[in-house]
Amino acid sequence: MANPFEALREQAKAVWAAVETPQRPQIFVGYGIHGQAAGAPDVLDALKKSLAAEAIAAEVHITGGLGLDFAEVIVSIALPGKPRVYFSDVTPEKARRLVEEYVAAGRAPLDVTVLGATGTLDGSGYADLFSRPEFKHQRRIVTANCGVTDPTNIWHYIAHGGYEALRKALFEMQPAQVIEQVQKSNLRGRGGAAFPAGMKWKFLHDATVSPKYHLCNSEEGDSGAFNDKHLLESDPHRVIEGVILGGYATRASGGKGFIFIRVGWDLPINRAQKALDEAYAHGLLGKNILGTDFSFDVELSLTGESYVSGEETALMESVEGKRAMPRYKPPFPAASGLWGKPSNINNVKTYSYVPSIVAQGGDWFAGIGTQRSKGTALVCLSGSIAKPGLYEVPFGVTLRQVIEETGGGVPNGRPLKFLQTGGPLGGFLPASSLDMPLDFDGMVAAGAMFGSGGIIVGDDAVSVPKITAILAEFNAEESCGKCFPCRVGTRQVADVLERMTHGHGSRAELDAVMVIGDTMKSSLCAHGHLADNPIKSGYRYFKSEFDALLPSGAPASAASMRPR
Amino acid sequence: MDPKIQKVLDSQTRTVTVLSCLIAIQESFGYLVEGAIPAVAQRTGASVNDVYSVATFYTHFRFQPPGEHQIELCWGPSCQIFRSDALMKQAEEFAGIKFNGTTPDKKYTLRGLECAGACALAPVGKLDGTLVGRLTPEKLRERLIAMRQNGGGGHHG
Repeated sequence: MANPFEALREQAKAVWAAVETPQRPQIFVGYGIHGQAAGAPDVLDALKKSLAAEAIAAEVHITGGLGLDFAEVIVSIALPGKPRVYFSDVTPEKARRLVEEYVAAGRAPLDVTVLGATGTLDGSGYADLFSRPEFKHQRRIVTANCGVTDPTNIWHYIAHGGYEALRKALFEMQPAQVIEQVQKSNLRGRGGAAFPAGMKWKFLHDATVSPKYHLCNSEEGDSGAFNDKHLLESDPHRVIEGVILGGYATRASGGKGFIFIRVGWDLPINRAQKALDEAYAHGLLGKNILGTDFSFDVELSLTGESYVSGEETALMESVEGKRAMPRYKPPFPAASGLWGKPSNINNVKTYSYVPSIVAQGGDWFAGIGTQRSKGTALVCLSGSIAKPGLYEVPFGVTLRQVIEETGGGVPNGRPLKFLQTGGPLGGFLPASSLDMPLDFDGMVAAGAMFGSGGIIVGDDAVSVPKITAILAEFNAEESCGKCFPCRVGTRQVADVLERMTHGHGSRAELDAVMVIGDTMKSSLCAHGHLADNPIKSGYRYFKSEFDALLPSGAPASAASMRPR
Repeated sequence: MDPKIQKVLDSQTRTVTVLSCLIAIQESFGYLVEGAIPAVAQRTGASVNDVYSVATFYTHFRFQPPGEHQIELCWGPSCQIFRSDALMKQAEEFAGIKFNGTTPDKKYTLRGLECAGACALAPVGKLDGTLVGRLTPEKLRERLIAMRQNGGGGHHG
């Protein structure tokens, strides 16, 4: 059978060649959420106006985020015969001068910072972009295209090896062989729970009821985490290819995938929708994918504002259009999930690794990372950090390598005080933990968790009880209300911390909060199980800060409040 | 059923559920207009009670029209480290209302966001749907004045 993918690959090569070795100037504007927040829409506008005023025929593309979010808006320009040069902190005014001085006359304005360049650098005077310190510890697998290709152009993705894994699976592998590679890779779920993905897929593969569903979770309500949105807005086809591979591997032909995301995240939503439309148009989705007998649909499913809707069973309730409240398990989703049918839920990042695993083999992936945490981690750095952004590093690098060498450490010479990891259900780590390697299990043992990858850095001026109170309030607001230990407990914890940070706390209340945390463990889902992580870990490492908030003369203890 | 609501419900391109219908109505009208709940019940076969239960669960649904201008400030921990409370105070003074409210003249709606997803450029706000990073009270004030002078924005974020 003639493989229709050959034609797609040829066309993609031609499209990308015209970008990489261009006849006319190619301009790329970093337009992910961070680019947008830094002013990308105005920069794009200024570029187009200046090009028109100078009567220059150039092609203007957008990209997602390169990960160096602190440097946005990043504009990169490839002139014919020149490397692609990345400029940082571009404003509309600087954009105008880039056109007038660099694009029109070949002279880069001296006051526009150059991050580096890619392509043929010999004699150009520019350093390799990827030789920058922020990339030293990075190993870009799922973010390889981010900030480089245009997420609204399927040809850019295919030209960079996109959909090759799908072709390989469909034409050279049985579903069970795909699962075998995912199991070999030891890929663990990236949504927080770190469950082995291959095992979940095997359960769904073995289910005999149809249709089968794949739910790609991009809800990402965690404060401090933005890697799910980053992947969807920067390289949506990779996510889609991962979901289609999931469908094929689990014998879900005739079934459907849902990419689940919160309403209001317009950039990732619009880019994912555009990418789905393109995939359908080129026979990569829908009936008889690439002419085979495998058929699979993928659509976006929008949810309302609710943090718990990111929990896997609550997510299914939300896709069904109901209140996002967790279900009892068992039955597990692989037996009875969405609309009672066999289903699999994974995070966006988990699905995104699969194309690389299928293309390069499970052993390749298992060779990256630590003994039990394989592959890479997408770390989102924010807070008191010199270079906030998104960095993809192999598991096993130390927090110091991430915080200091990649993120540039705490700015203004202040000392590092804490790392708050894993979102509002994660915990605090003290500065002394910097030599800890990044690892799912090691971080849980230390009372924090890697979770979905957010790390908020705090310097000595930031109050741990204050941040704990913010997280506790979030957890109380976001308790879905189904299980009363969580519904009532999260509110009590938040109120106690609120009183404490306003000087009205008491030792008895602080003691009670620790007991409430244990009671909340009887809740159905991780929201209740983990909601006391911030206060437990905060108190463990920064006890004196909490104690200092108690009014002097407060009762020493409240042993009578403890259950006996 | 109100034909305007009917048109919105019929033009959905994705799987139709109670939640999808409510989202479609709020995206079109800016809030859950009168008649929305029974219309969604009729369209999906759910009870009015069930539709209310969904509409009151997800926190972004509103039953009153929002103000002409949307001022949304991120209230996540990364933004709070960068003093988003000072921004909130600035916005409260500007609009003359408290956090999470709409002015009586329906000019401004002020709201806290749990996380705007641009933590690396904290503190962050969304003004009439436009994301703005690295806000300072001064920069916010300039933007708010520009917003007031530009007249109707009305982007329903």
